[in-house]
Amino acid sequence: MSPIWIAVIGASVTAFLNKYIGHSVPEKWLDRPKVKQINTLVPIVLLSALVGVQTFADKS
Amino acid sequence: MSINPKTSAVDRTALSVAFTVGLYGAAFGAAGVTADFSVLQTCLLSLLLFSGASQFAVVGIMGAGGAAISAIATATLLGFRNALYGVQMAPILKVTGIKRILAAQITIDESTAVSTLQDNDVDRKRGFYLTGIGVYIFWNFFTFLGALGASKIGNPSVWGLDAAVPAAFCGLVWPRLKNKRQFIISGSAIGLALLLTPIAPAGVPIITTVLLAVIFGWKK
Repeated sequence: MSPIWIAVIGASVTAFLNKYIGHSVPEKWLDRPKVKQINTLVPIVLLSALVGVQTFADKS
Repeated sequence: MSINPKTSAVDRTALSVAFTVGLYGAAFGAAGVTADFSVLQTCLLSLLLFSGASQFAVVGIMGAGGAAISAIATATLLGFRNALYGVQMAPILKVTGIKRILAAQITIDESTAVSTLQDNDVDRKRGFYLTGIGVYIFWNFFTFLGALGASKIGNPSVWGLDAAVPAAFCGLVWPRLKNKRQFIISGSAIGLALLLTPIAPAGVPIITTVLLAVIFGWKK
Protein backbone atom coordinates (compact mmCIF):
# COMPACT_ATOMS: atom_id res chain seq x y z
CA MET A 1 0.00 0.00 0.00
CA SER A 2 1.38 3.42 -0.94
CA PRO A 3 2.12 6.04 1.76
CA ILE A 4 -0.74 8.18 0.42
CA TRP A 5 -3.23 5.34 0.86
CA ILE A 6 -1.95 4.71 4.40
CA ALA A 7 -2.38 8.41 5.22
CA VAL A 8 -5.90 8.56 3.69
CA ILE A 9 -7.18 5.49 5.53
CA GLY A 10 -5.27 6.05 8.78
CA ALA A 11 -6.29 9.69 9.14
CA SER A 12 -9.91 8.83 8.27
CA VAL A 13 -10.04 6.17 10.97
CA THR A 14 -8.56 8.38 13.71
CA ALA A 15 -10.78 11.31 12.65
CA PHE A 16 -13.86 9.17 13.11
CA LEU A 17 -12.60 7.84 16.45
CA ASN A 18 -12.10 11.42 17.67
CA LYS A 19 -15.67 12.28 16.71
CA TYR A 20 -17.20 9.08 18.06
CA ILE A 21 -15.31 9.16 21.37
CA GLY A 22 -16.67 12.65 22.04
CA HIS A 23 -20.23 11.36 21.72
CA SER A 24 -19.56 8.31 23.87
CA VAL A 25 -17.31 9.06 26.85
CA PRO A 26 -18.67 10.51 30.10
CA GLU A 27 -18.68 14.31 29.90
CA LYS A 28 -16.38 14.75 32.89
CA TRP A 29 -13.49 12.94 31.17
CA LEU A 30 -12.97 15.64 28.59
CA ASP A 31 -14.84 18.60 30.04
CA ARG A 32 -11.88 19.97 32.03
CA PRO A 33 -10.43 23.49 31.96
CA LYS A 34 -6.87 22.36 31.11
CA VAL A 35 -8.05 20.07 28.30
CA LYS A 36 -10.10 22.94 26.88
CA GLN A 37 -7.25 25.45 27.13
CA ILE A 38 -4.83 23.10 25.40
CA ASN A 39 -7.45 22.19 22.80
CA THR A 40 -7.96 25.87 21.88
CA LEU A 41 -4.25 26.18 21.23
CA VAL A 42 -3.70 22.90 19.33
CA PRO A 43 -5.25 24.06 16.03
CA ILE A 44 -3.49 27.43 16.41
CA VAL A 45 0.02 25.97 16.69
CA LEU A 46 -0.44 23.21 14.11
CA LEU A 47 -2.08 25.44 11.49
CA SER A 48 0.46 28.23 12.11
CA ALA A 49 3.32 25.75 11.70
CA LEU A 50 1.72 24.53 8.47
CA VAL A 51 1.42 28.11 7.17
CA GLY A 52 5.10 28.68 7.98
CA VAL A 53 6.44 25.48 6.52
CA GLN A 54 4.24 25.53 3.40
CA THR A 55 5.06 29.16 2.67
CA PHE A 56 8.80 29.23 3.33
CA ALA A 57 10.02 25.68 2.90
CA ASP A 58 11.46 24.58 -0.43
CA LYS A 59 8.96 22.42 -2.24
CA SER A 60 11.21 20.69 -4.76
CA MET B 1 -38.76 17.22 7.77
CA SER B 2 -39.32 20.08 5.39
CA ILE B 3 -36.65 22.67 4.94
CA ASN B 4 -37.81 26.24 4.53
CA PRO B 5 -35.15 28.95 4.51
CA LYS B 6 -37.82 31.63 3.93
CA THR B 7 -39.61 31.13 7.23
CA SER B 8 -37.03 29.41 9.43
CA ALA B 9 -33.98 31.30 10.67
CA VAL B 10 -32.22 28.05 11.59
CA ASP B 11 -32.67 26.68 8.08
CA ARG B 12 -31.40 29.92 6.59
CA THR B 13 -28.25 29.91 8.70
CA ALA B 14 -27.63 26.20 8.17
CA LEU B 15 -28.00 26.32 4.39
CA SER B 16 -25.91 29.46 3.90
CA VAL B 17 -23.12 28.04 6.07
CA ALA B 18 -23.35 24.69 4.27
CA PHE B 19 -23.11 26.25 0.83
CA THR B 20 -20.34 28.74 1.64
CA VAL B 21 -18.17 26.16 3.38
CA GLY B 22 -19.03 23.54 0.78
CA LEU B 23 -17.72 25.75 -2.04
CA TYR B 24 -14.36 25.70 -0.30
CA GLY B 25 -14.31 21.96 -0.99
CA ALA B 26 -13.26 22.84 -4.55
CA ALA B 27 -10.03 24.35 -3.17
CA PHE B 28 -9.44 21.15 -1.21
CA GLY B 29 -10.11 18.99 -4.27
CA ALA B 30 -7.59 20.98 -6.29
CA ALA B 31 -5.07 20.90 -3.42
CA GLY B 32 -5.36 17.11 -3.15
CA VAL B 33 -4.66 16.52 -6.83
CA THR B 34 -1.83 19.08 -6.78
CA ALA B 35 -0.24 17.11 -3.91
CA ASP B 36 -0.28 13.98 -6.13
CA PHE B 37 -3.35 12.39 -4.58
CA SER B 38 -5.64 10.70 -7.12
CA VAL B 39 -9.18 12.03 -7.60
CA LEU B 40 -10.43 8.94 -5.72
CA GLN B 41 -8.04 9.45 -2.77
CA THR B 42 -8.96 13.14 -2.59
CA CYS B 43 -12.69 12.37 -2.61
CA LEU B 44 -12.29 9.62 0.00
CA LEU B 45 -10.70 12.12 2.39
CA SER B 46 -13.78 14.33 2.09
CA LEU B 47 -16.19 11.39 2.41
CA LEU B 48 -14.45 9.56 5.26
CA LEU B 49 -12.21 12.00 7.14
CA PHE B 50 -14.60 14.96 6.64
CA SER B 51 -12.89 17.67 8.66
CA GLY B 52 -11.40 20.50 6.61
CA ALA B 53 -8.29 21.42 8.59
CA SER B 54 -7.25 17.78 9.03
CA GLN B 55 -7.81 17.08 5.32
CA PHE B 56 -5.65 20.02 4.27
CA ALA B 57 -3.00 18.88 6.76
CA VAL B 58 -2.90 15.39 5.23
CA VAL B 59 -2.45 16.63 1.65
CA GLY B 60 -0.10 19.42 2.76
CA ILE B 61 2.24 17.12 4.67
CA MET B 62 2.17 14.28 2.12
CA GLY B 63 2.62 16.78 -0.73
CA ALA B 64 5.71 18.18 1.00
CA GLY B 65 7.21 14.68 1.24
CA GLY B 66 6.24 13.92 4.84
CA ALA B 67 5.71 10.40 6.17
CA ALA B 68 2.21 8.95 6.44
CA ILE B 69 2.57 8.73 10.22
CA SER B 70 3.27 12.51 10.47
CA ALA B 71 0.21 13.25 8.35
CA ILE B 72 -1.97 10.91 10.44
CA ALA B 73 -0.68 12.28 13.77
CA THR B 74 -1.14 15.93 12.76
CA ALA B 75 -4.63 15.28 11.36
CA THR B 76 -5.58 13.40 14.53
CA LEU B 77 -4.44 16.19 16.85
CA LEU B 78 -6.26 18.76 14.70
CA GLY B 79 -9.38 16.57 14.86
CA PHE B 80 -9.35 16.30 18.63
CA ARG B 81 -11.50 19.41 18.84
CA ASN B 82 -14.27 17.38 17.19
CA ALA B 83 -14.19 15.07 20.24
CA LEU B 84 -14.93 18.08 22.44
CA TYR B 85 -17.75 19.12 20.10
CA GLY B 86 -19.14 15.60 20.51
CA VAL B 87 -19.10 16.00 24.28
CA GLN B 88 -21.08 19.22 23.83
CA MET B 89 -23.59 17.78 21.33
CA ALA B 90 -24.28 14.33 22.87
CA PRO B 91 -26.64 15.55 25.65
CA ILE B 92 -28.64 17.57 23.09
CA LEU B 93 -28.87 14.91 20.37
CA LYS B 94 -29.33 11.86 22.67
CA VAL B 95 -28.73 9.30 19.92
CA THR B 96 -27.48 5.71 20.02
CA GLY B 97 -26.40 2.98 17.60
CA ILE B 98 -26.26 3.79 13.91
CA LYS B 99 -27.68 7.28 14.50
CA ARG B 100 -24.79 8.04 16.84
CA ILE B 101 -22.32 6.91 14.17
CA LEU B 102 -23.95 9.22 11.63
CA ALA B 103 -24.14 12.12 14.09
CA ALA B 104 -20.47 11.60 14.99
CA GLN B 105 -19.41 11.76 11.34
CA ILE B 106 -21.00 15.21 10.89
CA THR B 107 -19.67 16.58 14.21
CA ILE B 108 -17.46 19.38 12.89
CA ASP B 109 -16.78 23.11 13.47
CA GLU B 110 -19.76 24.33 11.45
CA SER B 111 -22.50 21.97 12.65
CA THR B 112 -21.55 22.60 16.29
CA ALA B 113 -21.27 26.37 15.76
CA VAL B 114 -24.71 26.72 14.15
CA SER B 115 -26.22 24.51 16.85
CA THR B 116 -24.65 26.58 19.64
CA LEU B 117 -26.18 29.76 18.20
CA GLN B 118 -29.75 28.50 18.79
CA ASP B 119 -31.68 29.13 21.99
CA ASN B 120 -33.64 25.89 22.43
CA ASP B 121 -32.91 22.19 22.01
CA VAL B 122 -35.28 21.64 19.08
CA ASP B 123 -33.48 24.32 17.04
CA ARG B 124 -30.09 23.16 18.30
CA LYS B 125 -30.80 19.69 16.94
CA ARG B 126 -32.16 21.00 13.68
CA GLY B 127 -29.22 23.38 13.25
CA PHE B 128 -26.73 20.60 13.91
CA TYR B 129 -28.22 18.10 11.46
CA LEU B 130 -29.07 20.55 8.68
CA THR B 131 -25.64 22.17 8.80
CA GLY B 132 -23.76 18.87 9.18
CA ILE B 133 -25.62 17.10 6.36
CA GLY B 134 -25.60 20.24 4.21
CA VAL B 135 -21.84 20.75 4.55
CA TYR B 136 -21.31 17.02 3.90
CA ILE B 137 -23.23 17.14 0.62
CA PHE B 138 -21.77 20.41 -0.70
CA TRP B 139 -18.21 19.75 0.56
CA ASN B 140 -18.09 16.36 -1.16
CA PHE B 141 -19.70 17.61 -4.36
CA PHE B 142 -17.26 20.52 -4.67
CA THR B 143 -14.27 18.36 -3.66
CA PHE B 144 -15.08 16.13 -6.62
CA LEU B 145 -15.42 19.10 -8.99
CA GLY B 146 -12.19 20.68 -7.73
CA ALA B 147 -10.24 17.43 -7.97
CA LEU B 148 -11.62 16.60 -11.40
CA GLY B 149 -10.93 20.14 -12.63
CA ALA B 150 -7.35 20.13 -11.35
CA SER B 151 -6.70 16.69 -12.86
CA LYS B 152 -7.87 17.91 -16.28
CA ILE B 153 -5.64 20.96 -16.53
CA GLY B 154 -2.31 19.14 -16.47
CA ASN B 155 0.28 20.62 -14.13
CA PRO B 156 -1.76 22.50 -11.52
CA SER B 157 1.23 24.40 -10.11
CA VAL B 158 1.44 26.30 -13.43
CA TRP B 159 -1.93 27.80 -12.49
CA GLY B 160 -0.70 28.68 -9.01
CA LEU B 161 -2.95 26.07 -7.44
CA ASP B 162 -0.11 24.92 -5.17
CA ALA B 163 -0.64 28.22 -3.30
CA ALA B 164 -4.11 26.96 -2.34
CA VAL B 165 -2.76 24.95 0.58
CA PRO B 166 -0.87 27.68 2.51
CA ALA B 167 -3.75 30.06 1.71
CA ALA B 168 -6.19 27.55 3.18
CA PHE B 169 -4.13 27.22 6.36
CA CYS B 170 -4.04 31.02 6.69
CA GLY B 171 -7.82 31.17 6.33
CA LEU B 172 -8.22 28.45 8.96
CA VAL B 173 -5.86 29.89 11.57
CA TRP B 174 -6.65 33.61 11.26
CA PRO B 175 -10.17 33.54 12.81
CA ARG B 176 -8.81 31.55 15.76
CA LEU B 177 -6.39 34.27 16.83
CA LYS B 178 -8.38 36.32 19.32
CA ASN B 179 -5.76 38.02 21.53
CA LYS B 180 -2.13 39.05 21.78
CA ARG B 181 -1.15 35.89 23.64
CA GLN B 182 -2.52 33.70 20.86
CA PHE B 183 -0.68 35.77 18.23
CA ILE B 184 2.55 35.21 20.17
CA ILE B 185 1.86 31.47 20.40
CA SER B 186 1.09 31.37 16.67
CA GLY B 187 4.36 33.20 15.91
CA SER B 188 6.31 30.85 18.19
CA ALA B 189 4.84 27.85 16.38
CA ILE B 190 5.91 29.24 12.99
CA GLY B 191 9.38 29.98 14.39
CA LEU B 192 9.81 26.53 15.94
CA ALA B 193 8.59 24.73 12.81
CA LEU B 194 10.95 26.70 10.54
CA LEU B 195 13.84 26.17 12.95
CA LEU B 196 13.31 22.40 12.86
CA THR B 197 12.65 22.17 9.10
CA PRO B 198 16.32 21.82 8.00
CA ILE B 199 17.13 19.19 10.66
CA ALA B 200 13.97 17.07 11.04
CA PRO B 201 12.12 14.90 8.49
CA ALA B 202 9.17 16.59 6.73
CA GLY B 203 6.06 16.64 8.92
CA VAL B 204 7.95 16.31 12.22
CA PRO B 205 8.51 20.10 12.69
CA ILE B 206 4.75 20.62 12.47
CA ILE B 207 3.73 17.95 14.96
CA THR B 208 6.43 19.11 17.40
CA THR B 209 4.69 22.46 17.84
CA VAL B 210 1.89 20.71 19.73
CA LEU B 211 4.29 20.86 22.69
CA LEU B 212 3.83 24.64 22.64
CA ALA B 213 0.06 24.17 22.93
CA VAL B 214 0.54 21.88 25.92
CA ILE B 215 3.03 24.18 27.64
CA PHE B 216 1.08 27.42 27.08
CA GLY B 217 -2.29 25.74 27.72
CA TRP B 218 -1.10 24.13 30.96
CA LYS B 219 0.44 27.32 32.31
CA LYS B 220 -2.57 29.59 31.89
